[in-house]
Amino acid sequence: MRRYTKAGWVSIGSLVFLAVLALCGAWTGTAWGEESGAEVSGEVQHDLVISLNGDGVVANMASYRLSLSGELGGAGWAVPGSAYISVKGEYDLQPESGKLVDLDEAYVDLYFSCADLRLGQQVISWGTAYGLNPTSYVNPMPNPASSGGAGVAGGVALELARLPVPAMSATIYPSWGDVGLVAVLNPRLQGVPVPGDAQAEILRGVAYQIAQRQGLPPDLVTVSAERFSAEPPESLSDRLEYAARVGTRMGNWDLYLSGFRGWDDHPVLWVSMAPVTDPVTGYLTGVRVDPNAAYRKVTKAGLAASCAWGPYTLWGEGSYAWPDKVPELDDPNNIAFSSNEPHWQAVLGGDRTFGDAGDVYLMAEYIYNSNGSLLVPYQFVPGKSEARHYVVGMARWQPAQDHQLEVSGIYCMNDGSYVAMPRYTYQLSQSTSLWFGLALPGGDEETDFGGLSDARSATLGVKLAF
Amino acid sequence: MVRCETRQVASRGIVACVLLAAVLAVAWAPVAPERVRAADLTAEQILDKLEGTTMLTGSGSATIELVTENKRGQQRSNKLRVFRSKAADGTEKQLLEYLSPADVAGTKLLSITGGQETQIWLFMPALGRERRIAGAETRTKFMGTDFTYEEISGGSAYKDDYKAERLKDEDLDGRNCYVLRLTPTGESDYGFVKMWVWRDEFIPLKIEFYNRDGKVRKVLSNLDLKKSSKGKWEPSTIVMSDVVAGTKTIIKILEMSGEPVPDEYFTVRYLRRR
Repeated sequence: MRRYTKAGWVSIGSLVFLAVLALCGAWTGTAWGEESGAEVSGEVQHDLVISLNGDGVVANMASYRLSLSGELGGAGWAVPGSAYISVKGEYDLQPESGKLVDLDEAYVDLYFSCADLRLGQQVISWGTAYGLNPTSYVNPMPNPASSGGAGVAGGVALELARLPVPAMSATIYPSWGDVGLVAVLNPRLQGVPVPGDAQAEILRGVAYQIAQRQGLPPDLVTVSAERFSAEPPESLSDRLEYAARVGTRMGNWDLYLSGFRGWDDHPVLWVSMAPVTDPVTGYLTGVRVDPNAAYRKVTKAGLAASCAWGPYTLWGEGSYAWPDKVPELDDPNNIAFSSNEPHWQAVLGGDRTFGDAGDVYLMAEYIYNSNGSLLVPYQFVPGKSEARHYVVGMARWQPAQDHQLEVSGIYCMNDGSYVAMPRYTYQLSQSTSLWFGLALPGGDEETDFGGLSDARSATLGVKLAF
Repeated sequence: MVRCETRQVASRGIVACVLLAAVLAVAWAPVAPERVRAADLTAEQILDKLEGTTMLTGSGSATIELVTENKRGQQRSNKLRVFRSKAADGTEKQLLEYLSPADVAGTKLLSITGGQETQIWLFMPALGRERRIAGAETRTKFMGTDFTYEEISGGSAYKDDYKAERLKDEDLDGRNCYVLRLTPTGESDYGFVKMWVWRDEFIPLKIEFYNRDGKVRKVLSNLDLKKSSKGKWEPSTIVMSDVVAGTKTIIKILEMSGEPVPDEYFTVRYLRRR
């Protein structure tokens, strides 16, 4: 187990200062807010994550979120509306890294008689399912590889972590439902969701395979770079994305039809090979392997529905994606880790509460992903990508007012791997909660979640909301 | 986990949304009660009067504080703004917005009841979208409170589901009351219910819910009655005590208005607005 460095304690001091600052801000903001109509709110959280594999503390993370919101109005404003801004930050003391201040959302709402507009950095949340929303096209999810199965099983926690983008959105409300139109001015592109070390390892493996295939000694196959890197689009017109959604309510059903034209969050990957010849003799002396990555546009269409059926809430959501073709992916001389094939994703689920006071809550969800693993959107094993089927479940029991037990998890039906996450939460006061949780991945090393065995951990956390 | 909190908020929202009915039911008498002082009213007639005064027939809004207290006396408080409307065709619409605590502030719950069906949408600002929520069964106890739908569904439920019998009048806190014994005609958690109705205003001041073995299980009290500017008596505090569990739910009415609420409040559009 590592020990705290002096710098670590300095960071702790900084975080404490930050927390105090946030609380002072909340107090003064609230006082100010009473006069101005603005409201300040936020939360401060600390998580201590301990490895169950004997690696000691793997994360010692402090984080916060501070938001300010208020109504627009009065003589200076022609239309009613509101404004909202939030900043967040986090710092991990183990290892020491983080971003203390990061703009989260910042937008202005304008309420016209015919439409509601939202302008600024925002999250546009579409869909009816929990956690994974195939029709929530606009904002990228955080890299699934970084949160692992815990993130996927974390459901709404992952959903809440969608990354805001600068956009203009308008929603029109005809009598039969609503029509949403979105223009994204600058999409957030996520890069390659594979850690750099793993990329280098993958490329070395590819080089070895090529050497075997070509009958060359491995040292004659060289890799020109250790990572895949893709250039994001430069011009504003290139960066623009569009999305639209039509929603209506039919009896107990909410139905949404949606579409999207924009950038895939993750670039496509392939490696190309070039013969290396002796400039004098012209004889083949080796092979150079070049890792390539490129962002591409994609067109998506989707349908989402939800309904209440007796004590059950049911939902279904799916989207079909047609990626723009990247010729290099179909070049037989290249090794492609991405595909030009269309793909689709679907989620079906339901939940209900049982017993007095909603003491017991159960939720189950089925996820289909034709493009393979939910964790890594690439196919590093040769062959066609295999569609994956997952089951997500969650059970919660609240035996008393301040105590809550819950178990959530995700299971991959293809390979039998899973992540189980039991957790106990104690509400220390109205604003403060403590929890203890476990993340328990299981399965063979080559499976979806079995490969996350390093993430076997226990978490102790505290959160203060104000 | 946030996933779980979502559902908790939903449950709490449903609770509050239905509690609104109770608050408004007792607090707003849309038509001034007829000052019937005759001693010969039957139990059914009293329930009829009760229905007239306890069911909201118009529209209005209120700010309330909902406090739950566990058996150790620890309290949890939610501050809510509630809006309600009832159309001529019987469709009831309710919108509830959490003002505090911070972790649920801004959460809104919209319920529309027409005929037998209730449609409920929950909006959480952190999630940025609304979600349908299944309604609960009428005899389900709501999480964190001591109420069931049945208990707070207003006078009509008592009239429809109970056989009423008039007992000897009594004084309660200096107010002369009709006393009714209500025996369930169908399936019920209770053996019988005893109700004290203020003779002057036909407001139920106290309701005791008895187990099948004749022991008090819960007590509902309408307290702090005050005369409004319109001359109506209104309770500003409603308390439901679970005698068996030792828990308590307290509703404090902080502000109230009988002004009609615009219909646009009861829409998904309004739900989505910050």
